[in-house]
Amino acid sequence: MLNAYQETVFQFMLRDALLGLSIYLTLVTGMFSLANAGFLAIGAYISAVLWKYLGVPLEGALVIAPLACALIALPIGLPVLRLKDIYLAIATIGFGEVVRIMIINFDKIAQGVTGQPNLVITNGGAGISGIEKLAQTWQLILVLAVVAFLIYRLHRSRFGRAMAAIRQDERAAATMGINVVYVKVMIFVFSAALAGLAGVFDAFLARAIKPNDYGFTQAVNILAYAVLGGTSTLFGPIFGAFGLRVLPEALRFSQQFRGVLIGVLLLAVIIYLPGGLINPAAWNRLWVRLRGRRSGAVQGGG
Amino acid sequence: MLEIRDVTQRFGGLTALNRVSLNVPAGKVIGLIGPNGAGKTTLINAISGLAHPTEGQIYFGDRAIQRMPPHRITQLGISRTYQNIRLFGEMTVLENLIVAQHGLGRSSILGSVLTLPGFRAEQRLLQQRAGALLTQFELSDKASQRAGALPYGDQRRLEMARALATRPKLLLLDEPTAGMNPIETEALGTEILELRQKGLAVLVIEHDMALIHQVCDEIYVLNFGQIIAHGTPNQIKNNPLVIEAYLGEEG
Repeated sequence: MLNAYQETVFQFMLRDALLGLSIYLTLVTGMFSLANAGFLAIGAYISAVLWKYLGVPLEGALVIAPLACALIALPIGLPVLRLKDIYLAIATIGFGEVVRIMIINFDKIAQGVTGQPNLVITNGGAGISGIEKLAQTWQLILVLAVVAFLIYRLHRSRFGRAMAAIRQDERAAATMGINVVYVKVMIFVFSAALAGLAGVFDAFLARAIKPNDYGFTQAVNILAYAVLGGTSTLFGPIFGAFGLRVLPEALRFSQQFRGVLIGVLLLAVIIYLPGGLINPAAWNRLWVRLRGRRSGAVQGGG
Repeated sequence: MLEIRDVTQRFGGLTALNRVSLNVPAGKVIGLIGPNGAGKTTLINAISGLAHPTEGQIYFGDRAIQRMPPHRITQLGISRTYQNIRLFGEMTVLENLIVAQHGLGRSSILGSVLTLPGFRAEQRLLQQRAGALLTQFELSDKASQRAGALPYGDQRRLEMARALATRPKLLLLDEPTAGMNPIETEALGTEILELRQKGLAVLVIEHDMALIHQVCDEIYVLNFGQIIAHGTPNQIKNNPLVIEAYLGEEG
C-alpha cells in the first residue's frame, strides 16, 4: 500500500499529531505554553536510554516516559503557570532550553557524581544513535485514537467546560467556583505526559536523537500545528500537524523555496482564517466577505 | 452571616480601604453606596477572594475567609456579579449556567473522562438546575444563543442567573442596574426582594437611590475607603455627611 518512505512520513505525521494535541490542551485552557518540545526531549531520551542500557522495550517506555514527564511537569507548572500570555511563553521556552542544555551536559554531571570519568549516558551534543526502529504504525494509530477520544470526553465533562471558562475569563471562572490553579496545573501535566508519549515514538522512529532536535525551532513548529489547524476543535491541531509534515515532502520539487512557500501559506492562514483551517465559523465569515466584495464590485461597476 | 472587621486594603502607597467594618445579617439586603473611587468594588473583590485584604478579618458564618482562594469562597456560598459584565461570551446561555455549577459537581477528572455512572446522573442534575434558572430569568428561548451576542439587559440578567447557579447563601451585586432603564431597574428590584424572601442575603453596590430605597434594609456609605455612615435608608437620606460626600460642601 505505502512504500517504506511513505510509511515513515505517515508515522511522523501521527507522532506530530500527538504533539499537536499536547499544545492544544494548554491552548484551549488559555495557557500559551511552549514547553512541549522540552517534554518531547525528555520522553525521547528516557526511552532511548532505557532501551540502550536496560533493554526496556517500546511498550515499557510508553508507560514510563509519560509518567516521568508528568512528574517533572508538576513542580514546574505550579510556579510557572502564575505567568500569562507572552510571559508564560518565554518562561516555557526557557524550560525547553534548560532541558536541552542539561541533556548536553548530563554526562559531565553524572561522571562527577558517580566518580566514573568514562561514563556515557546521553552522549552530549552528538546524542544517542543506533536505536532500533521499534515503533509500528498500528501502535501510533491506536495511541493517537485513544488520546483523541479521551480529550473528546474531557471536553464534554465539567472539566472541559472549566477549561473553556478559564480561557475566556480567568477571574470570573474562579468566582464561579472553579479551582483555576488545579485545572491549569492538571492540564499542563497532561500536556507534558502527551509530549512525553510523542517522545517515545520519536526515539523509536528516528533511531538517532540529539539535543538540538528539541530546541526552539521544534517548540515553534509544534505551535505552528495549532496555528495552521486552529484550536476550535481537536481535529485542528491534528490536521495542522499532518499538513506541516506532508507539505515539506510534497514541496520537495521547489527545493530552496520550500520554506518560503510554507511561510506564505502560514501567513495566509493567519490573515484570512485566524482561527485556523479547521474552523467552520471562520470559513463562513470568509465566504460572506468574499461574496460581499464580489457583489459590491458588481454594484460599483453598474 | 457576613462580618467584615477592620479590613484595610493597600495597593502600594494607596489605601483603598481603611479599617472598614460591615455586617450582612442572614436574609437581609444591605446597600453599599458611595462616590466613584470610594472603594466599593475593592471591598467586593476582597470578600470574593480576588484580592486578599492587607489587614483585618472577613468572617462568613464562623469561618475566616480573608485568605481563601475565590473558588473556595464561592463553594462556601458567596457569589457575585460584575460591574462590567464578565460572562463567558463564547459559550451559550445554557453553558454559562452549567459551568457556574462546577463547584457543586463531585466527579473527578478521571471519572468524567471515563464516564462512570455517577457522571451521567450529575450531568442531568446540572441541566435541570440550569433549566430552572432559565425559566426564572425568562431566558429559556435564548438558551442556545451565544452569551456574548445577547442584548445588554439579557446579559445582566444572565449574569445574575449565573451567580445564583452556584447556589449561594450570600449574593454580591456590583452595580446591577448600570446601563438599565427605569423599568428594567424596578424589575430588578422586585427580583432582589424575591431572592430575599427565599432567604438569600444580598450586598448590593448601587448608585440608583430609588432602587436602594426599594430593596435595602440597611445602608453603608463608603467615602475615600472609610465607612462614613450606616443606618436605615431614611436615616442615610438625611445624613449631612452623606450629602456632603455626594454633593460637596455647601458653598
